[in-house]
Amino acid sequence: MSALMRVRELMRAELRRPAPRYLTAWHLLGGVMLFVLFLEITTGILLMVYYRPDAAYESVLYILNDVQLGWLVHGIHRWGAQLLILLVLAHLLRVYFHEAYRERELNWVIGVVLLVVIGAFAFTGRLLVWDQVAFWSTDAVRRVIAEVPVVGKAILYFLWGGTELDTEALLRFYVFHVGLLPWTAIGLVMIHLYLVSRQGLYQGTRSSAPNPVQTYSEVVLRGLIWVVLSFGVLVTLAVISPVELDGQADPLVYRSVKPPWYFLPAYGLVKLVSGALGVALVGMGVGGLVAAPWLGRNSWVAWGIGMVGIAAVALLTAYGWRW
Amino acid sequence: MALVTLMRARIWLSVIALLLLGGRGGVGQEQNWCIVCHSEVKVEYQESIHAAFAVTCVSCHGGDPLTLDVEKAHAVEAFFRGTPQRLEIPDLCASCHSDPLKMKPYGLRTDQLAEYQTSQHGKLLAQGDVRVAVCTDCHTAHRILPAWEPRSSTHPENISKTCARCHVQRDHGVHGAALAQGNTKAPTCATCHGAHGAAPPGVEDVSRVCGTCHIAERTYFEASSHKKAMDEQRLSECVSCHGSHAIEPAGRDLFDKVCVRCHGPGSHAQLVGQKIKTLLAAADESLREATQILQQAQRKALDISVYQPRLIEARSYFLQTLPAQHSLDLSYIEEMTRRARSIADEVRSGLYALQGGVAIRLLGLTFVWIFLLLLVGVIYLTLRERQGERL
Repeated sequence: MSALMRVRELMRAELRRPAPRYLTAWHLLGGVMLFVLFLEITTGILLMVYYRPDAAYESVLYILNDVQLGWLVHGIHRWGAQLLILLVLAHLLRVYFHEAYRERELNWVIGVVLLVVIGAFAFTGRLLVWDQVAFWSTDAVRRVIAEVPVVGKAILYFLWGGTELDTEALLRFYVFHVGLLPWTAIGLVMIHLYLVSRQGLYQGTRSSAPNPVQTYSEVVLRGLIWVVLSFGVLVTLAVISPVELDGQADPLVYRSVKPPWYFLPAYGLVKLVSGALGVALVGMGVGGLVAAPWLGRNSWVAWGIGMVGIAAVALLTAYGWRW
Repeated sequence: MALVTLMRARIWLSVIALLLLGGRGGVGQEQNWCIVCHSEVKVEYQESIHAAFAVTCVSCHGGDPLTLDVEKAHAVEAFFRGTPQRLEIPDLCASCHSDPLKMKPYGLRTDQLAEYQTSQHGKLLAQGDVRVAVCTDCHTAHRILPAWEPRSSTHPENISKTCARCHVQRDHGVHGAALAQGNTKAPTCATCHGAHGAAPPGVEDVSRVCGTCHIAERTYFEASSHKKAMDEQRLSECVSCHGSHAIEPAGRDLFDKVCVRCHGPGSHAQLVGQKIKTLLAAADESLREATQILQQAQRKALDISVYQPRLIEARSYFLQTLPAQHSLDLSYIEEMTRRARSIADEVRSGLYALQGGVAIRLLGLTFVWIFLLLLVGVIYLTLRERQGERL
């Protein structure tokens, strides 16, 4: 029997195995996320073929206007990033409120680190188009970091390559976006999946009536439906709401811009508590997320902490949006 | 006796304070004891440009600034002059400000007195009318600041208030609005009436006064049929249509309001005005629309590099037409607005074509969804089949 046939047989055997009865649509979120991440990497590689950091804005215009279906690839990449963040947040909430992190604390921490890495993807990727909105929203973050005592300048030199936002910083962001972060994300996802396969899926404590008997092939098919639909949603968004640019970045023409929705809670917090303390509070928020499994040992305490956290994030988002 | 002791104590305390704070008021303040007693002008004087360049009280008032003895300080032998009379003030200021040797280090003009004497203010003062403005009325007596200093009474933003101390304040209109928005290059009272040689411009001089800034308008106006007719009837040129102080922004509604003042409704001249108005409105509308579509296309990240310079070209034709309307040359205005409109229309249709791809994209999206829904259907059927097999 050839190796290919053996693999096929193994996969068939695996797919015919009975799946846990508590598996619901919520558990398929992780699979859809994997698909969107794959889509992001694929479209990102396609964009890299034409993107040039030394002529960033012009090359983005070239991609959008002259490259065959360049606008679609760019649109899917941009909307995909937003969908990925949304899915990661939904996955995180699902895991938290199902208390699926119990006895899987390490995997929870890796998940939170993945969330931060995906945030870093979005932050570095936003600057690459080099338009006014990208420039001034990144510069606003630079101004906040510059106020952090002791380490502020060191962070700027590491991330920006200096204390000002210029083409040097753009090149550095590009290196982070296409060089460092993808490998970090892929590595973390592999460890995350390995731990899931080692520790098994969480069976739930408050689950309602279990599903009827099912095999893994049925779970995969149900997941495929979600994958196809999410792809359709991304293509639709790329067509009906294509990428908009706000003119080439000009350091001499100031533009007051708000960050994208996923950074609004951090923006609201920094607006509310300015200076180093605001940055420290954002860091503490991420730290609190990491420590969530240890903070909520009791189910009701965990639920309470979760609700307070959601309320705080919602209020900060509203504050950031309003002001 | 007690009062004298109190006075002496006050003087000595002031001297000690002055010595301790020595040098803060400008060069040579230690030789200027006048402000020990005349403390009411001390702050004003110390803020002034004169204090900064060591021009002390004695330069204008005479007297001995080195003594604290009231009588010696104010002695006639010390050339004490007291408060100068209004009639004397221009000559007193000119004793320094008309001296080229004294003014050379500061790069200041020395013709202010000569100009003042030609002004309405100067002429009336020469006739003995002391109610007219002299140097200190505009520049103040003690707190004299350079005109570029925002606190100065002669700073562009303060000029209208300074003039309004005697005249009616007229800082409204388009020029006043520009000044209020912080545009210090906008014309003030002094720009049209002159500063030291202030006089209302005569009927024949008005176009020259306005024309110093509105050069193109003046050139076109002088070539127009209006020029000769207005000169003959001794009508004030620019002012007749635009007004003098409360000058409104020159909108197209002026054609409706102003022309009929001299030309009867339905007359040939009035119809020419309406024709110009229509031509300008049509070109302006085309340009506006093209600009709007260009901005939309820019936001949608479409390549507008071909259309942007074309639109600038169209706008420059339109901008040439704005002063050219003063020539009343209908054929020229028609030609310029036609060029502006045709380029704007070309840009607009080009940009529409560029955005036309949206329909094709939507068609493609429909096919994508048909395919994806078929795929979902197939997966669903397979899923049902698997479930059926199992059961």
